[in-house]
Amino acid sequence: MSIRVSIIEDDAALRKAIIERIDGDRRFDVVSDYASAEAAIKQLPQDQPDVVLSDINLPGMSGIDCVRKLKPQMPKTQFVMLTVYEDSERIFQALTAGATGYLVKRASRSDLLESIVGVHRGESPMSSGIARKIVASFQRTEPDGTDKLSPREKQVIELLAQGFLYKEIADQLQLSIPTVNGYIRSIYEKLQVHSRSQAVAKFLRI
Amino acid sequence: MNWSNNSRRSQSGRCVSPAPRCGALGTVASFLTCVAGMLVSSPAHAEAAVESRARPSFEFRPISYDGRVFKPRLELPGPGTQAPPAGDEVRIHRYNAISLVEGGGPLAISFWPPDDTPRFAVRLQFKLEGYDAEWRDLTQGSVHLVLKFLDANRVPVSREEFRVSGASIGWASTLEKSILAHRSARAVVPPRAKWVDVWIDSGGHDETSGVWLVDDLLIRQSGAGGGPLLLLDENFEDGQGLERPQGDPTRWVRDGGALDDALVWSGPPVKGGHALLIRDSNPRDYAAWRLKTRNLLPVVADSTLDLSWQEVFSIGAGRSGDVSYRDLPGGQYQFRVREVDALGVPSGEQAVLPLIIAPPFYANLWFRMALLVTLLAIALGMERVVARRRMQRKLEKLKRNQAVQQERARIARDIHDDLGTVLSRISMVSEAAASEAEPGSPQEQRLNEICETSRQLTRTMEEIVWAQDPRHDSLDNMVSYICSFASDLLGVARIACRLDIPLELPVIPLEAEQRHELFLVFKEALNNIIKHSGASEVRISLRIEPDSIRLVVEDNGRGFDAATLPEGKGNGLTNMKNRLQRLGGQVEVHSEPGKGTRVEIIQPTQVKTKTND
Repeated sequence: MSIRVSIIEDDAALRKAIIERIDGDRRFDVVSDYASAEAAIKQLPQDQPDVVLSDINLPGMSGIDCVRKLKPQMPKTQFVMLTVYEDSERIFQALTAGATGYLVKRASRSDLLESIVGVHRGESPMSSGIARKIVASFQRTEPDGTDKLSPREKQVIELLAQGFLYKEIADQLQLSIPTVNGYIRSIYEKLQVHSRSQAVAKFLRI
Repeated sequence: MNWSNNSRRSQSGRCVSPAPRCGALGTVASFLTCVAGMLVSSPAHAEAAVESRARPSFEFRPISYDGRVFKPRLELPGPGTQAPPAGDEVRIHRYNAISLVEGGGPLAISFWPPDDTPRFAVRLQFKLEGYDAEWRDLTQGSVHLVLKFLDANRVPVSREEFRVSGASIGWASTLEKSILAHRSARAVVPPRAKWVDVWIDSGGHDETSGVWLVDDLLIRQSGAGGGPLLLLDENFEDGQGLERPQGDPTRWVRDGGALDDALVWSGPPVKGGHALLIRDSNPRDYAAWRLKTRNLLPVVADSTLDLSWQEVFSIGAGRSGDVSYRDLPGGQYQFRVREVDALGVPSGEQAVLPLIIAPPFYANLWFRMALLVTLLAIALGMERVVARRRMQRKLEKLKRNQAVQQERARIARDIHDDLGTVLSRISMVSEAAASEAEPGSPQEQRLNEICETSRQLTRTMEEIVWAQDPRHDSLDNMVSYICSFASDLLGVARIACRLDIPLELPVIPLEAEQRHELFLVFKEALNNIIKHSGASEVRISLRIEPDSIRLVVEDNGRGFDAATLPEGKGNGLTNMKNRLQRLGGQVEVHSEPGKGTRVEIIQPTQVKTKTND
């Protein structure tokens, strides 16, 4: 069964190029594409995509807000952010909003396709810079450390922040790579919950 | 006219109604004013002072000054039940103080006997304490030595008067203490004159009061053409009973309505002889000595008469006074008027009018302080205006800076969004085209080249845009970026990357230029490792120091000896150093063969860049 992919990208030519890249492969089925977050919010849940590729920079509502709106309605759908360059702050925001990965647009076709497959399989690509931000975020709001994370999750994210690759983490902790991915996915989910509660706490304080 | 007479009149005269002043306070006040009066009186008048409740025999008229009129008011009115002053007592009539401001033109003070008082003072003297050193007499009183020229029939032809007023040079408060002064005068005998009569006469002015002693009168005639040269040489030593005031000198006879006031004087200041004395103590009449008719002096018309005599006089007036002072400096004064007898002996009655002359507003302490405060306020105001203007300029500069930043951000965003997207499109399309081309064909190769070039271009552009975008003007952002960059670059080269970055980074602003240079140096260090070190692991750490940040890139590669480094390789390091030095930073490279390389990039954080000035 092919992976149902939906694309949100405002540049028509680029959107077309991405569709062509993905559609040419039998593993994927591009079910819909949107030029704006507003349009996607109306229609996307009906499309039931497995993976959504969303540009961060969209005219009007941003890709981040779009994910924040849609993710709770579509918990099984994975959102991958497309970005021209790695802007860690915005990627981090997207992750707290519910995204599970990101791709730079200059990525080669094979990198793009492998990433989609990986995300669909449960992999969660995370760079060391993002990992550092996540650790800092948990520590900042929870003075007693990253208690919301399990000890294993803490180990994994801290190693990631120190620049270790998934494989190296798996070797060091004697885990399989899919297990490491599982921890990362779990960290992502906790990050979303965490950031949401953080927002509520912030709201209540005001 | 004597005191008992006067006081009786005062008692029976019109009484000023008592002021509604509370008793105890009034007593205290009067005591205080009395003490003050004693304090201000000069030693010569330090007699026991009594505040008078009787009406004075003179009063002050309104004072005109600076176009305004001030009315002196008796401060201690009350029924005059008091006995006349005995002995040295002084009865003081105190007036309310009058406040004036300096520089208001002449100050004219008039004192007058009350219109309804029949009594006139014998003689009034005044003194502005604080200004006049001595008591002064009124100048309207005068006595005269008169030459009356008569024709052959003893009919008056004309007269010549020599006025005597005020006090003579030798006058010293009493006749006895005084010294005779010499005086001379000259007159021309009018035509037709055959005789001259000589009068020592107090009849000039009704109010005249005082004493005039004359001795050694000498009259010479010159240019008489055969007439007598010495007309009179009189020392008043010939006569009957000259030892008594009522004695009769041989050549002289009394005249006037008050014959008692024409006297013969013996004793000081006349030494061992006699002199004629006019003592005018009658404000309404006069007294005179004149030559007896048979003793008239024969003169020749048109000749010149030279007169000389010795005299002592103190002439004042007793009825009214008009005194004026000019250009009084600011200060406190007491204008005093006293009554004296003809000989200048105080009767004991005195009036005091305090005058307070305020310095002009610009000499006033308050005014000066106010002026100072005003000037200070103006200075402060100007300082504030200047400061505000400076701040406005600063603000404008900031706004300009902000505008520049916004423009930078806009350009960065545009490049990012538009160029980035277009470049992504190129790489994607060329990649797709390459996959459609015949494998191994030149077209496939060229399309792949296009694809790779556009990817590189995207990457380079990304670095520039990242550096230019002001949203990334922070240490945290820069660190995230170089970490991702290092992970990516080293990941491709299959070199393990270890990061040791503090979780929380201080908010340190980094300018675009600083960021860009730091990044380029960092990139250079990584490229050197990938190309030359053969390292399997790179450790990147960041240390925050009080005034700098220290970014360290270490590898476990083969290292090198700086001394044996070929020319070309050294250039990269020199470039790195130069780049950072321009921004106040520095690069330290430590390496030993076999022990890896350690590059430390140090960037001071306190250094102000030109946009912050």
